[in-house]
Amino acid sequence: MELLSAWPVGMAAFLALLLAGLPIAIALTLVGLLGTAGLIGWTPALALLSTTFFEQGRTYSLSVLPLFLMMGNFVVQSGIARDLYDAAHAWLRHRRGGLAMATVVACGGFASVCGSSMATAATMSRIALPSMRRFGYPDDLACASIAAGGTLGILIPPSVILVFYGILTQQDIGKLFVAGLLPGLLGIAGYAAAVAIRVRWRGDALRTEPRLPLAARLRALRGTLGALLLFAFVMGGIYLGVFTPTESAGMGAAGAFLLVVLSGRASLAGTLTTLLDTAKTTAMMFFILFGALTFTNYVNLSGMTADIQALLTSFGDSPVATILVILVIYLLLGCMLEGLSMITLTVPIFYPVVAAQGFDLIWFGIFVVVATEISYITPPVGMNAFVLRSVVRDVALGTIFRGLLPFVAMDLLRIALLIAVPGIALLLPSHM
Amino acid sequence: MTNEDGLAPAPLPGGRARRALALLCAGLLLAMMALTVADVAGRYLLARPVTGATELTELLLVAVIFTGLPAVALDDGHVTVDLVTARLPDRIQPWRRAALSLVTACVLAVVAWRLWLHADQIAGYGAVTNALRLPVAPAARLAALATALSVPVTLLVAWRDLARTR
Repeated sequence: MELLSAWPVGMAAFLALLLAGLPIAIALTLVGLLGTAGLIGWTPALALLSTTFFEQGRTYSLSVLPLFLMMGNFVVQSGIARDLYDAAHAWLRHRRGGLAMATVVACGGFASVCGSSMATAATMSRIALPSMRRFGYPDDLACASIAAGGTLGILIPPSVILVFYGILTQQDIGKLFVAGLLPGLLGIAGYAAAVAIRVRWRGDALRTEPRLPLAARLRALRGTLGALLLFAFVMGGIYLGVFTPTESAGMGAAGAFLLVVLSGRASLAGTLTTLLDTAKTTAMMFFILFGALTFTNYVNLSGMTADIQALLTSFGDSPVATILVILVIYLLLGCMLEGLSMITLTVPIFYPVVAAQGFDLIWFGIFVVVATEISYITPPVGMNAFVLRSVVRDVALGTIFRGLLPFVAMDLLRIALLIAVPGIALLLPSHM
Repeated sequence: MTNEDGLAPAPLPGGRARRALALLCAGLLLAMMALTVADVAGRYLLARPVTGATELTELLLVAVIFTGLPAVALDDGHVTVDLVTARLPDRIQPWRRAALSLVTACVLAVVAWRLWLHADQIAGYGAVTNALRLPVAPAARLAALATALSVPVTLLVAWRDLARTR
């Protein structure tokens, strides 16, 4: 235990356990507990453990997480993804690469009522992929547009990752959500541009369909009404201050349940599966959160934050230098960890550092999420590419990652823009 | 979420246990949702929010988190990183997983033990919620018991995987 009082030892132990395949929640708890015990003794360390696991779990504001998860899962069950895709398709089908663009737009629409990147990718892959394949779209483009579009799930509000960030840094979840909106729209535009650039560059011979008359296009929008109302209700409620984020999550879950009932998909078995999945994800995420809080106790006691701060500022005193170093760390870590793990591990360490450098923590949340989005679509641990791979078994992972290159380029451009013009994130929340 | 690239988990014995867990979780989650709706509707429409909605939500949250845990253990649903381990030979995978399950079970057992002691402590000074005067200790007992239940479930799942490959 004495050994763990030096944080590099604790960090190395944690990474070794993680890479051996120990669940991240357990690795965080184990190293956090042993390290804390090494620093302050067993009695207070064990007392801290029960306080973290029970008293933190009994916090009203954290109920926002299961409620938003429930809303997203009900939205998946309701099958509105099909309507969203049909609408985007009707508007974009006459363009070259129009189906891939429609996929990106439909992903963005789905993301506005679902807070998970993998759920967005998994749901849209079942709908958009068959259609793109029917029209002879190459596999790498078809899969990449879904995998990239899926990442919008965690940026366009609601977002489970932003909730997590807000909890870890004690920032206003409503403001974080509103801040994610413009960067999310920028993401849709960027991905659509990535499709256009790729199609032109590679000269894909893609079939297009004749342009639909305006009346037919408008008719196709009708199917999106449910999603649109749900989004307006939830986000409008937060923005105008009618609901707290927790209340809006509960109301959103009820609204999404209503969509399930209206769609005629509210079977008992289906609903039970949706709710059990929600409870499982809730338990899984909260144990990661409890583990992260236990680990953070240890990190704070060990003096790691001060050491990292000194290290980061040694690269130069300018805030931009610091944020670029952090960006590189995220891009590297993103090759190893999936999003939630990366955030729980890094945010508690980085946020005091960037706050001391004068960065807005709402802005930093959006920055972290965009960096996480990149990690979802870059090898070797690009979670969304894995999701696609599990749906389409006959496409190699390498093909998907190759197709993702222009999308990753757009993401890098977007994060550069976000650093250069912080207002992209901060404009809307400043009016709340 | 990294588990086997999102493959569905293998069917397990104990379909009835899973169903019971599903019903329990569904009830808790729907109650949490209904409580929020009633509270908001009551506040805006009747100018009368639900008394104690906040503390009831807190207790329901604890209940959902911890009853979900055995379900996670049942489906081996924890987030893991398989970057390195995916490249190890198939032969040693069950043994590696069994060893890690043992570590997981030990950590969960310590958490369960401390939660039970915490429950004793709260019961000792008779902690109750603010508005409804509900005792808090039973929630901690539930958390401790559900975590304790996850210990044998974790071990049984590991044992089943080991037995299946041999």
